[in-house]
Amino acid sequence: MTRSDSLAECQARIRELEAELDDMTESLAQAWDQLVPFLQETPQQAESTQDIIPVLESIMTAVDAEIGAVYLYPHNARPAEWYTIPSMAVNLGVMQPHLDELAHESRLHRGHHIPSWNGTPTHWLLTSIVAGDQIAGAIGVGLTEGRREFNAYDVRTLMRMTERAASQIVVTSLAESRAREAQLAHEMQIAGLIQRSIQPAVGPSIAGLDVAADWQPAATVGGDAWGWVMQPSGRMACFVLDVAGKGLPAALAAVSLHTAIMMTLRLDRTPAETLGLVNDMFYDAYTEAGILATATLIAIDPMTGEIEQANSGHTPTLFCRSGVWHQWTATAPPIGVLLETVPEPQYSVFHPDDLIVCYSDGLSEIETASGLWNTQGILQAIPQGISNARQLVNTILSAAEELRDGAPIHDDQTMLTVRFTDKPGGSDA
Amino acid sequence: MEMDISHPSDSTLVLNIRGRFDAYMVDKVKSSWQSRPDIKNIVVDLSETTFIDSMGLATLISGLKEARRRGGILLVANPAEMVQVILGLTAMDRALTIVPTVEEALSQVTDV
Repeated sequence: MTRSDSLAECQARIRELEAELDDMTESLAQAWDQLVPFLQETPQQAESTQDIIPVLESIMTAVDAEIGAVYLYPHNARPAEWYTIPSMAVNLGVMQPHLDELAHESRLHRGHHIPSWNGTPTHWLLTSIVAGDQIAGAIGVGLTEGRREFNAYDVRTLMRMTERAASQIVVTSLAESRAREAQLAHEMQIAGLIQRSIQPAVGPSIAGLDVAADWQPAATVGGDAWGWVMQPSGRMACFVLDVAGKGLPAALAAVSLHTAIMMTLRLDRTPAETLGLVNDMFYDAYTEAGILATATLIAIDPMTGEIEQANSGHTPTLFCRSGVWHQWTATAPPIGVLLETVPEPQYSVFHPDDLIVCYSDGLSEIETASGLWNTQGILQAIPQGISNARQLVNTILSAAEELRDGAPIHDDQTMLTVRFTDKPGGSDA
Repeated sequence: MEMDISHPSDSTLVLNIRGRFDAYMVDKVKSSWQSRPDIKNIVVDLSETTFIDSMGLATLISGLKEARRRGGILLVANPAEMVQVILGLTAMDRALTIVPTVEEALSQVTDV
């Protein structure tokens, strides 16, 4: 090859490059023309595929694509969305394998032989919409096969403009999640107030009985409650209940169960009858909601010292006589488990200085270095010579606090204690 | 906490729940039968379950009621000692059918 031939070849190559550069500049100008209004006018929050349509149109124009599509994965309550230009140009079903491959392999996927609505094979360039650290969906552009291949410029344009759309989705996600968090916090606050409202402000003051109770709410709202009522027969009935679960549903279920137990006891029903009635009352609702509740009810005649206790699925009731602790375990499964179930009651007669302790699993399930605290742990925390019910409650709760070592309470902790005294007016609750 | 799912037959689901069966497992366990309307019988293997709380118990009862609604049963197989104690203390052993092994459970399921 002579020097002049070589020079001519170089000049020809330069002309080719100049022409290519002209094409690219023109394309870039077109893309920019489309992009500028999009940047100025795109809504601050893209909440659906409809909000991303301007981006898709811009990309299609910039890369001179015949078909475009947006896919958004389901997010919170929003179902998956699929949108194409022209409308219904490609069925989601035929595109799904390519979307799956895109999700697994990389930020970019090239798909071939994808039939359009009329069966014409098309080829596609797809990229992921990455919002934050999650793949929110995909944007793609398509051409009829054989027309031309997508080049590096098309790839760059598609990816850059998709990044811009993704940033809008990030804004949306953050705004949605902030609104959701605020709503949740508000609901939790209400749930906490509801639950607090049903805890008695003071215990009964009855000659011969010394009653004390405490309820420590969990950091996240739980479903514990306690209560007491004087029955027409003169018996003092008290109880601890625990609805499984947390949050607003548990708080609401605790309120309704608390009310139902109070009302039934006021009708002079025994503890066992009351638990049977509320079980039937709530069975369907609990089945529907997939929840259950446990409860221990105790009725005491302060004149005779007669005790009746019934327990549906609750932690054992502890009964102490002459320094020896006994356990009254549940004789029926929790409320909402079986229809027409009435627990078998347990009876005793109080002697002076006998003690009864009811507690919720928020105490027995405290994690300790050697496993759960359990009933044995609670019993070990009780010193000999307890002189009143309040002292007993405080002693156990202090031991629980020590075990937690400053950690937040994960489940409500409720405790009810009764001490029988032969001295009238012995209550200091 | 982990869970293995197997389907010895088209209508039977076996769940092996390891570690704690508590609130964190509820959705995963429930979705195993909610996503399969063809499942009638549920066998829950609790031999490697170290603890079950009230949410775990509520989930078992949801499964029991759902299985009955579909004309099947839910069986608890070989609960670990700690779980047995909890089932006894809460009287849940009066509501649930507890069998010594998964094989025993499956033999009962085929009789349904």
